[in-house]
Formats: sequence, C-alpha cells, structure tokens
Amino acid sequence: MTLDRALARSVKKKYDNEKIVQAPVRTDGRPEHLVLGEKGEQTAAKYLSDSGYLLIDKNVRYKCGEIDLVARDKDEIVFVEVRTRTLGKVLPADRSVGPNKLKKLILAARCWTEGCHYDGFWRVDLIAITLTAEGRTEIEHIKNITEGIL
Amino acid sequence: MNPVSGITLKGVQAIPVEVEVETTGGLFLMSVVGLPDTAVKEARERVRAALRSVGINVRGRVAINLAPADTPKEGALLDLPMAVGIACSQAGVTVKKPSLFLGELALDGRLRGVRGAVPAAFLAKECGWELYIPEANAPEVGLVDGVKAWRVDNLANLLAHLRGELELPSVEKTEISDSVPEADPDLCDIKGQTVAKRALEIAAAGHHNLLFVGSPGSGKTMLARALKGIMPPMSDEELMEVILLRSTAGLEFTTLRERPFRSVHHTASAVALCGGGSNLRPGEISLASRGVLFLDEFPEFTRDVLEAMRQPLEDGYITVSRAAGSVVYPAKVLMVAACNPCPCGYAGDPVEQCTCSPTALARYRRHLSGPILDRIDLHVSVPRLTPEELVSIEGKCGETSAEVRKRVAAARERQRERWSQFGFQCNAEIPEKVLRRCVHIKPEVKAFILQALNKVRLSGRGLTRVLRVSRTIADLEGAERIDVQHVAEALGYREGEALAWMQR
Repeated sequence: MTLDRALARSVKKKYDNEKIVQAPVRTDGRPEHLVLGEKGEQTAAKYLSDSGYLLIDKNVRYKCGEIDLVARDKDEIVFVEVRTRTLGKVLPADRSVGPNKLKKLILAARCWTEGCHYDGFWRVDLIAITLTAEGRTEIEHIKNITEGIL
Repeated sequence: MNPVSGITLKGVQAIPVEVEVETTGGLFLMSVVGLPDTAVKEARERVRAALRSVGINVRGRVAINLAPADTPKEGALLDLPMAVGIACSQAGVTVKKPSLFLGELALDGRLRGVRGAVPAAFLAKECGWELYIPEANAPEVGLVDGVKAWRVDNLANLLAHLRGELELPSVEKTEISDSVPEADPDLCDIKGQTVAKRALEIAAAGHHNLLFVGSPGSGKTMLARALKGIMPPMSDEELMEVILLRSTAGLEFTTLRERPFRSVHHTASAVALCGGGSNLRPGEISLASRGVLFLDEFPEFTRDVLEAMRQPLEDGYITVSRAAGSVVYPAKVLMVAACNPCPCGYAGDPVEQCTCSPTALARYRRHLSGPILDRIDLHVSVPRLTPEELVSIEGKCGETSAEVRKRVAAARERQRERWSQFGFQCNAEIPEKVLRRCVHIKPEVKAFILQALNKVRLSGRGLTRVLRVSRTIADLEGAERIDVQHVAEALGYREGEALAWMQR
C-alpha cells in the first residue's frame, strides 16, 4: 500500500507536523535527564521539519520498544532515534546505540508499518545532539544506521 | 532472457549465470540466493558501498537470484553483474542487449581484475553477447578473436555507458608475438653431457617422459630447464589452451609462444599437483600442459602424489571429481624427473664413496620402482663431469638450442603426418596395437631385437617402449623405417640401464 493511502486510512497517524514541532516541553518536577531528553527530541523535530521532512508521529510506544520520531522523507518513512548528551558525560551520543537498541528499534518500526499496512521503503535514522559547555547544541544526523551489517 | 549475466567457472569452462534482482519495500536488506560461496555472499557489502559511491542508495529488501540455482557460484567476479542488476531495478539503468559483466568491485567503485576472463570471452563469443571486463583483464581478452568487449575502469563510467551518456573504450586485439624466445639456458651453454642432450632431443621430438639419474651438481636441473628451449613454439590452438588455463588459475597471461615450464617442489600435495581443492582449481600438471613439468628429487615425493599422476600422464587429461562437481583439465605434459642414485647421492660415482646403508638404499628404491617408472620412456644417467671438461670455460660446446629445435620440429611434423589418420600427435601416445601395425620392421632388425631380448630381460610393454623410442630416433634422422642403430640406441634408454646399480 502506498504511503499516502496508508496514512489516510489511519486516523491516528494524520499529518500533524506543526503540532509535533511546537509541542511544549513539560518541566514540572521531572528528573533532569528526562527533561533534557525531551528537549533534545524537540530540537530534533525542529531540525527535521526544517530540512524538509514531514513529521507524522512522536513517542510511539509498543511492547517491544519505543520510537522517538516518525517522519516522512519523500517516498520513505524514517524512524528517528534521538540521543541527547552533555559533552564529556559517559559515552558520546552517537555511540550509545548498540545492537540491542537497534533490534528494538527495528521491531518497533515493524510494528508501526504493519499497524498501518505500509509496505514501501523505510529506514532508521539517528539524531545525536550534543550540548557543549558553552551552551551550544550540535546536531548530527546519521542516516540508515542499520545498513551495512551483514 | 534477463540481459544481465555473469559467469562462474567450472573447470576451464565458463557457465553463464543470470542475475535477477527483485526489490520490495521495507528496511534495507540484501540477500543472495543460488548457492553462492562466501566471496559471493560478501559481495553484498562491496556492491552496496560501490553503488553508494556512484550516488545510488540501495533501499528496501533486495533479493538477488543467481540462476541456474543448483550450480555452486564462486569467486568475486559476480560483483559487477549484481551491481548492474541493482542499478537496473532501482536507478533506471537499462541494459539493452544481452551482456556478460565480470569484475570485482572496490568500495569506491573501481574495478579489479578477476580470474576467468578468457573463458568468459569464449562464452561471449559463442553466444554473441557483449562483454564488459575490468581494465586489468583487457590484454588477455584481446587475444580472443571476434568478441565485442568493453573495458570498464569504474562503475560510474559503466552506468554512464549503459545510460548512453558516455562511450567506453572497447578492447583492441592483442598481438601474439611470433618471435622465438631465446632459450635459457641454451644447450650449447651446457658442458659435456652429450648423452643427456641427445635424450633431451629425443624427448622433445617424441614427447617421451624423461628421468635423469645423477650425483648432486651434475647438471640435472639445468638440463631439464634447457628442454623448454628445444621444443617447437606453440601453435595457436595450444597457446589458447595455455592462456585459458592460466586465466582460470588467475596467473599472468603470456603472448609468447614459449612453452610453460613448471618446477614442482617435492613437498607438493596431490591436490596442488593434480588440481582440486574446495573450489576446483587446476593443478601444476595442468598448468604445465603443452610444456614441461619438472619434478626434482623425484623419490622424495610422497607415494600418493606420484600414484595420482599415473592416469593423467597416460591420458593427457585429468578428471577431478569433488562434491562440488567434476571437471576435466588438460594435462598434456612432458614430465622430466630427476633423482640422485641413492640418498647420499654418490652411488656409482667414480670419485666419491657412497655411504648409504643397505636399508636406506632399499627404502629409496621402493619409492622409485613401481608403475610410475613404467610411464617414463627414457632413463638417462647424468655422470659427474671430469675436471678437464669443467675447466674448458672458453667457447660453446655442441649445437645451439635453435639448431636442435629445427630438427625436433621436423621430426614432429613427420609424426603428425603419419599418425594424423589415427588421431594422434606424437610417438609417445601411440597405442601398442597401432604401433605394431604401422612400424614395418626389417628382418635384420627383428633378428637384432630377438638377440637383445635374449640378453636383457624385457617385458612386452618394455619392448613397445623401445620401439616407440626407436621410431622417434628414426624420425629425427628422417628415416622411413626403423633400423638396427635406432633400436640399439633406444635400448640404451631402457628402464634399468641408468639404474643398473639398483640390481646389485
């Protein structure tokens, strides 16, 4: 089924690009790392929207895993995992996705595509956001992170 | 028929492999079916990276089928057809005429040379297909007449060519040089050893196998190397066979008509010598086909290696059967074996004393005796040179290789004329039946043979071998019929004469 028809059939997954990009970040009484993560997702949503992607969904939860952002890149669905880190803490953001997380992402993405009977192309991207000491944010977009593993 | 094909090798034959590509939606995944070996499976990564380098991002689930599905595919030469197949299905490239693609891809889209380009060229010629080959294989493919072949240096240019934006250079004909290569070493550079030189000439003329027996340093290896220089240059047909074999084995090709010379170390395994392995490759005996196979330290070879060579020496081809299939390689070699008379090397030497124990001698002898010696027509002892001969540094001794080569070529021509009606080429391969019928023996020769048979023990097969060798000697002289002196000389090369010390 084509992407447009699949999306049209699914009431939940109608285009709400603006809503996702401008959703407020809740800060009241939540642990610091969760707030940072949500801020990161917000930044990523804005970045994707600015670079021509159409956001479809966010924070989709399944038994087998969670997807931070779902977007559309021309004729392809992109599932985005957003990682936010402060510079110098533990691992750099782009290294923190290991094989187990990849497996979970793929499973969840498969749940999503099967849920709306979509059988076109899709991929999994990683957006790594690093907060530097001077308060700047650096965004790194790594496309198709599941490619090239035999 | 799908226009994109590759090849896989089966022996020296190329088998066309159709490459079918299907793309469906989903996460990127590439799978190859059709009995690929590890090199073909790993091609996925090379193909993906090479296609990305030319701006094609492979998407979705890509299934690649290599038909026929029940033939095992091997080697990296299927990289290119797989890449072209994917480009056709995902990037709108079209291949109009049926074409053969072969080449190994580098990650940046360059093309590396492969083994098996010449068999592919023969296949393309037979089917009338176009051929796309890596730059590195262009000269050898140029040797095959009448093939429409294109030289590809990288994937980007190939795809541009298929889209019609660019014209690839086509393969031009490689000229076979007709110059006779210089013999190295030349016969006239070898001092003394007149008997051995004569034996070399007979061996070259009649394609008889040869065994040199001599103490260390007497020049056995040098004599064997000189044999290549006195054999007539290869004909077109023979050259093609040699090039085909070398291409299959991935060796450098040659445009010289010089015959191959392969020297095998005695630690060689039966597979290395006869061909085989998990993905069948020709062995030394096939690589030396139409030329000389030199086995130094003959008794040191393991028994099963020597036994494995018996059948191919007889038949001129070798059938290698493995689970992966059975293939036939040509093995028309002239075998030259060399050995010491005993483990210490000095038995029968006029100067040095042999220090071998009887048990050591017996063990050594056990290796030598046996059916393999039956396949060797000429047994020659290579004596140590006298100090006078060694010191004579100045000048050349005896004839040059070029002179001998002329005589050998004439003798071969005579044999070809005589045996062509029976489908044979040279004296060594004539069956006993045909030989007896065609060799008209004069009465006095018959009497001489009878006399000789009474003196020396000679089996029926031994007699046939003597007759074959005498036929060659007569051919060298240009004599119509075998004469007494020919038989007398041939009797001298009989088995046992050079190994007389064994019968102690």
